[in-house]
Amino acid sequence: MKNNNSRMALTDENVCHQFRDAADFIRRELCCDGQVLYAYAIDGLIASATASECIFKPISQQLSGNSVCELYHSALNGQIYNNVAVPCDDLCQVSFLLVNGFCVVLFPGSGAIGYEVRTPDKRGTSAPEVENTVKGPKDAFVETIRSNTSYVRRHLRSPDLRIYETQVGKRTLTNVSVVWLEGITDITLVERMKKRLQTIDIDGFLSPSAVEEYVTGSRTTTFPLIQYTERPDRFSQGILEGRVGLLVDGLPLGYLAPVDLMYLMESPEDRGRDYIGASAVKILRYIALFVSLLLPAVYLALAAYHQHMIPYPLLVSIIESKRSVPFTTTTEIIALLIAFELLQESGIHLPQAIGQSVSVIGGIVVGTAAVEAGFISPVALIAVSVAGICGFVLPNRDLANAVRVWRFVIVLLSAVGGIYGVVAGLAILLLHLSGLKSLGICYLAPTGSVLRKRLINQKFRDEALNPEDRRNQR
Amino acid sequence: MRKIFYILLICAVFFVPLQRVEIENLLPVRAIAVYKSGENITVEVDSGLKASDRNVAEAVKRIKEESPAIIYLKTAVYLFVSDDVTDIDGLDKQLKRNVKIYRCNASGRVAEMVEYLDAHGELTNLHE
Repeated sequence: MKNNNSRMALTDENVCHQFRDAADFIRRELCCDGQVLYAYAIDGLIASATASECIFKPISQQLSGNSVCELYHSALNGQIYNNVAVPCDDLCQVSFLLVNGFCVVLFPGSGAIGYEVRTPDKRGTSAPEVENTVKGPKDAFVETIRSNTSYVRRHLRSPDLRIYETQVGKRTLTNVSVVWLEGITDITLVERMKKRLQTIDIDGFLSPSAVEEYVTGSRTTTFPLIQYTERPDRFSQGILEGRVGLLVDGLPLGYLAPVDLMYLMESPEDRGRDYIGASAVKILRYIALFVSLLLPAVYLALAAYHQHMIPYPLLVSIIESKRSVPFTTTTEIIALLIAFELLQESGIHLPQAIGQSVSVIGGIVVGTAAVEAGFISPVALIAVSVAGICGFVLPNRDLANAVRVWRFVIVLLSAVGGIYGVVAGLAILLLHLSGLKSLGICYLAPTGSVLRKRLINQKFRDEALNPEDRRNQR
Repeated sequence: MRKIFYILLICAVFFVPLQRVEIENLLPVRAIAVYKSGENITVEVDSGLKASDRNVAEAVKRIKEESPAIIYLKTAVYLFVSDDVTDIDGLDKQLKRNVKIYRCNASGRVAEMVEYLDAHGELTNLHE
């Protein structure tokens, strides 16, 4: 399409042909000093009042010249007062500007000029919904990429901030910005990111999964290889650490790469509280990660194979609670895990108020009734629920989802081989993680710390990111 | 190479020699008493189940066979052995290494013994 457009001459007929059958396409003839000019725009993408005041009015009233060529040059040289004026000489460029909120004026035979008259943001910034903190900033990314870059600029007022913009998606022509800080970010990482964006050859680049899968090279893994955030302050912090940022038009998120497992375990709240409290919570988070991953599998292994590892009073208690249950421990655990996933999914797809009710009804009422009816044992219910709750402690939803999948895998191995199965599952997981790379950086690279260090002690940036300037502070 | 290793690891899990026992079928034992009754040796567990045979191993086998539940000796904490029983071969291998063995003259009523032991921390009329 692009090549065909480039070859087509820049005429009124061709522009109209390009946008034929498009109800929102606006074409207007303008008479200027005896010459006929054409203005084009896409309704809804431009601010009509601004277009009338800053383009049509000066063209009609002020622009003068003996020929179209003279009109073209005087318009380009400032007689039409607009912030951005882009000269165009091919149909492809005109089409691109039109779908990006420009009003294009065609000077037949001389060329065209695109004036930026975009509509303002569809919505203003609001507080982050997922990454909410008690003390942190309350602004979050929106769907408009230019607003998002401005938020980053406000947090990171450095003239060294670089923003490379490109379009991805043959049909959607989605604007994507690569953001980095010159003098800190390893330029190799930036080049890698740019190269990956250039190699993406798809029709649409609209969904978060498209960004994550294409940018990360779509490895066969459930683990996130890119960090998403809805907080400009966290995004800016990542850039300051030497990571590469990615902003996509239409997505109220910023992406950071490279990432490793320890970075994904960090929460924006960690920098919002004192380092001792934050360290304690971080340790708790790591414990939650292991509990969420292993608890159902370990319980299954102990109950089905290794009863001698359970202390006597606990064993008696478990046996008593299991006596009336008609299912095996394996069936019980797998069924409960599936039920938990179903509950979680139903809560997501329902409106917030109803979703909460469903979770309460599902979790408490149905769970209690099932235990009382003797369908499931309370210990199995506790094991699965605690694992599920610990999953919610993880700060990154993609990481929590990966743990959900691996929880099933390890439970199945545990059902077959007991503790040996659990160990085999962990070994496979470890091998899998050790083979992952995010933008060329090893996923298990020890770039972070389990504890949150005192800020005055953080003298250097992470070595694994290979920053151009390692020193963070004196 | 990595995938082959994954497959081998998963296959290895299937060959682990484990005996699967549903936990609800277990009858965990906390204390066992071994004493002589006539020519035979009796093995009694704290739930009251007992069996007699010519030696300890056979008695243990019999008690396991006769019980509808799976007698689970691994959980045993106390083992009371009568003074006139010299050999507990066949039983010791089924117990944990840290099981507390008491030599005593008493026979039977294992549950009461355990209860007393729990209450006082040790059995005063027995010598370890």
